[in-house]
Amino acid sequence: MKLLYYELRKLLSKPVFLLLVLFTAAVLWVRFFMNCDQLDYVDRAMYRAVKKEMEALPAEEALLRLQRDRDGLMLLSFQKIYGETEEGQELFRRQFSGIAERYGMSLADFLSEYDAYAADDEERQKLQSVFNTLGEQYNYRESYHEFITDLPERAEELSSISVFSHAGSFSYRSIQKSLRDYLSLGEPEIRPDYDQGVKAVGLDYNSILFVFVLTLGAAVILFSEEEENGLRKLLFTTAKGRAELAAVKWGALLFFSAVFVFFLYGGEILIAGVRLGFGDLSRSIQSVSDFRDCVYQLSVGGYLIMSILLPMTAALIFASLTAFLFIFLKKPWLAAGTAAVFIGGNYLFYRFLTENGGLNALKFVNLFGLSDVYARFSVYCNINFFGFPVSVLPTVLAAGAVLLIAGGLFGVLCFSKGIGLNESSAFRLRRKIRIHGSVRIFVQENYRLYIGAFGVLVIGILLILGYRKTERGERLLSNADYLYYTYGQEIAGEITDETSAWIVKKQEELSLEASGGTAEDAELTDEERMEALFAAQVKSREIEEKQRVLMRIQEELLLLETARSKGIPVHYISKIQTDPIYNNGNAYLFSALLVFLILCFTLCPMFSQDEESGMGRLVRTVKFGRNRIFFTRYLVMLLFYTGAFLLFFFPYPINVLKTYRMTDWEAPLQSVIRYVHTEGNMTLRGFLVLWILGTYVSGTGFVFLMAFLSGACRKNSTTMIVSAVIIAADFLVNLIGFPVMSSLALSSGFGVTEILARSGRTWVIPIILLKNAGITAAVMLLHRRVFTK
Amino acid sequence: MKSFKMTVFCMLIILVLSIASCNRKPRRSTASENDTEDFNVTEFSSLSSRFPVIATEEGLYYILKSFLYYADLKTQKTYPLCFKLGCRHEEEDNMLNCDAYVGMNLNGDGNFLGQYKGKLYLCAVDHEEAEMRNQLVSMEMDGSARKILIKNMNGIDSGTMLFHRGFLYYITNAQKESGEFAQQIRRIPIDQIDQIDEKSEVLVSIARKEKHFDSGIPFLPLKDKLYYTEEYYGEDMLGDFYCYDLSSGEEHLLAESQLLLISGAVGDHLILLKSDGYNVQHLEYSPESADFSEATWLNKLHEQHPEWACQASCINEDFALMFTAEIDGDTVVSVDTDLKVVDTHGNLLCEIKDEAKPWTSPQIKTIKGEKYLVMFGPDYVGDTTVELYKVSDLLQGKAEPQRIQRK
Repeated sequence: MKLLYYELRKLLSKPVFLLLVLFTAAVLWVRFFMNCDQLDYVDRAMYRAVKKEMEALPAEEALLRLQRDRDGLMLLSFQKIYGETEEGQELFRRQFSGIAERYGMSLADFLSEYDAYAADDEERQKLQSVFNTLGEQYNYRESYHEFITDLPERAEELSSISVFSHAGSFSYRSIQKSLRDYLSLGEPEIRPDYDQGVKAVGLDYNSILFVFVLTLGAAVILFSEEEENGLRKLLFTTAKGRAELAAVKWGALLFFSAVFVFFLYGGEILIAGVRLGFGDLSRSIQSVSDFRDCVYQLSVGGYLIMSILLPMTAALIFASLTAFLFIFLKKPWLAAGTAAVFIGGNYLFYRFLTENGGLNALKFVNLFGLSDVYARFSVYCNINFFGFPVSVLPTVLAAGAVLLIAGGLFGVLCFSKGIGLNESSAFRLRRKIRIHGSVRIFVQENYRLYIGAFGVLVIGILLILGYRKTERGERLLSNADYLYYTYGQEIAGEITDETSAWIVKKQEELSLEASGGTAEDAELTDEERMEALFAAQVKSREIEEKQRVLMRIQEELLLLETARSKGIPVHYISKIQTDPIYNNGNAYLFSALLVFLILCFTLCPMFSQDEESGMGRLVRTVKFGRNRIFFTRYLVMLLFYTGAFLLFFFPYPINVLKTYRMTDWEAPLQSVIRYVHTEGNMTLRGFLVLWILGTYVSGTGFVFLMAFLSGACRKNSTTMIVSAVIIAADFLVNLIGFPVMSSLALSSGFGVTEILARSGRTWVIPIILLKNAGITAAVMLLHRRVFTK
Repeated sequence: MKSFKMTVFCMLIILVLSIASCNRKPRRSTASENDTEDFNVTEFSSLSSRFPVIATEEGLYYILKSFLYYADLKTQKTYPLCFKLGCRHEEEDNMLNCDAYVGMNLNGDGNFLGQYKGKLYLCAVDHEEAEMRNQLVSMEMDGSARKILIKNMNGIDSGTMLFHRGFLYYITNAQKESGEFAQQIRRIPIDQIDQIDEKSEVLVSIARKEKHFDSGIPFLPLKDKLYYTEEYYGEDMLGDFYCYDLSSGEEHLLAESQLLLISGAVGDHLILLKSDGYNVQHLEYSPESADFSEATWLNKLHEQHPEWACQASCINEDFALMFTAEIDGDTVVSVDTDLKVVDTHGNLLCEIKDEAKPWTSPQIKTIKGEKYLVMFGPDYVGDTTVELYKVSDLLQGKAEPQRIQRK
């Protein structure tokens, strides 16, 4: 137990790590809270009151009543929309009296029953959504009975179709197995209840990624501390204690991963419960319409428990395998890298393999597949195992159990027997080839960065990535986009009255073309007219397409007109040209995140390497040289980053400019459709310059932050974990999309296009730039103060 | 620190190699020598609306209203090609879970459905993403083992796709490096479709600024030649007619400054529509003698019956289908109510009255050695009905279809 206590203490005594866990939880919970908001709002108290009333009625009567009340409230809403004029009300009567007639009443009499709800629009809408929800649930209850009753007949019919009737085929076996699975369930009682919370839980399988990252961080701390302290050899001196120690380390990692899941997912369930509510937990999960196809006897409460247990199982499997990797590969970073590749592979298989594909086993027997609780219980499907359908959940749990136990057993075995990866001849060869450093500080720091920390390779990688990002060849455009682009070129430039005239003229031309030239018709013979008809047929689709494109341009011009009416001389520029620069979504953010995670490898050891080896104290003995060393290191890092920026980030806007042939740079920013309502004066060129500058400053901030953390954490491994997590978290905050939070993030420089679209104010951009510059300078000054003290 | 450096070094090397390995140089595409199956020219229609149909001994596959259907000859019913017992195959339902759901086609005028080596190939929306994006997928004939071959079909006109001698031929709208736009006829070996970015071969490229292809399939592969019309973009409706030699890669101008639209093929001869917007004439082109001649049987028919619309929608060695037009005084009321079946001597064989839907591209399919004319019946708008007319019956003047209705 003592061993376990010490292993647990290793993590619990790391406040930075605990803070990271809290921060991750906060980010996940905020994201979940926002997702909850996106669900249709149904007033819970009102729902319960109406439900109670309906439960007192026989089912059929309740259904009719719900439909009637829903129609009544809907008609009241429509009546308001049609206005109070006699003409509007007449139109309303003509269109909707049929609905009232269904209930054997005139429209006026029918509406008079709902007079009480006429005044309060908000209350009426709430009640309407309650009637809608309850109506759907009651209908679902009826349809579920039919669904289960009809299954044998449906199965027989499907099996009789020639293409599904081959006894040895996957489709035939799948139909038979589906029938057995559904029938084994019996017919669970469907009890309608408030279910918004149930629908929200377990939807986002990506959340498990955060658990994996935290588990990886915990593994680095649990397994690499002895390595970095030089205590590893000491641990191996007592042969009999090795197995116990390995088992304890393995157990500690599994314990932490389980706690992470419980903490993160438990929080989400709590939020869903408080914010949305689950209704009666004892009712069958099939009572929630989303889970009609669930073939497990499970209650709603059981589903909520499974929404923690399944991700927890995935986390335990990952933790067990990670522990094995750390023991077997011995090198913490090789193990962490392998585990990261394993996660990436799992994600890619889950994301890109199809549910019905031949390789669907890889999609389901997968850590993300196991964590996707909503899909596992709401969608019925089978694994295609050499033509045999196999249930997903039992298979993945069985495979997981094997991996879990195997990871533990092999881990303990390798640790106690000292089995693992040995230094290869390549490593020994590397030792012989040495490039020597220098006593000059600038040269030595460059040596440390480019040779010691493989900066040259990183530059190489960025060069390849940057080159691959450039569009060197052709770009494929749909017919509609091509037409849109060419039309856009015809009216490119400042919008004037002539622009509108061009649209009208073009539409007239198209109308004339569509009618086949009526002016000439009188002179045509019957035969010629017939032939003309053929020509019109051939052309008609093309004309329709042109008309659709013209309409699209017209809608854009209408939007631009709002800016023009404010006196802004907006230009027309097609979205094909502007979107890649100003509407690139989060693509640029993701690219930047990838680059900074790569840079972590190289930049993080700049200060921690000396601190870890104890050289830091020696270096600081020369009091007047501290500043020189400090600024030289910063200069070297900055130059390195500048190179990386030019190689990777800069080609993007340049490439876009070249490919999309933007020429209208002096046009106001409002010429871009998504910025049409933006306040403030700025040209497209001005915005682009600020954007490039903003990305550079943001990036510099991250580089300085890595330097600061490198000095503060004093260990390479800790620096890299902390830097990577902080950088990822910062980008995540930006990606979540809260305007204020996004603006506060250091990565805001990379996302100004999105921030500008959301905030609608141009002054936000220079403020973000100044804020990021301020943070960057503050980090550097703080670090300098600490370093030179 | 040394071990750390080594680890990082190894990881970076692996990363560089993996990135570099993705950037292979494209090679000239080749198909297996055994793939000699020609494109079935009777499936070709110069009309832009294509309703691709695949026929097997047991039934027919086709795409209608966002779903892939299977018309079973055994049960005489039509079903969505989805064997999920609980699936309702309805758009209102969670349709992305339905295996038969192909969604709206966003890439061109028509959809694509092909069969090759016992597998179905079709264009469908991404089932894993809510966003509507078309993909090219392959699957077993029972709809299982769905595999994504082209992740994003942007710029690829799926309505122009066809299989010919082991290759997939299609048209793209591409912006070239110079910034100019061009429409391109390309091809890729069928078994390498999943590497379309690296392995596709541009056969013909036409700058779009001045010219464009007509809608529909503007090219037709016939044996080792590819025929296509390059139409001038403008009022004159003129164009050039070319032949591209698929084995040598040479291009030959066959006719210039006249609009010749490919209408179909009878045996080795191409049937062309010569049009300048109002005057239409049928021509035959013989690749062997490289001669254009008047398609007298069609033109004669046209002269005899001017009320019959000018275009033959389905031409084969046995007969041609002609549209009928209804004229009220000076006004042409409609053209799509009846079809006339005429033989190659210009004789009217029978009429398919008020039931055919010509825009659904009637096609000749061979099922168990028997030739059928496949069409979609009168219920097509409300529901799905496949109509099969035996060609032997049509030639004997009988137009009584076998109807396969939606279950």
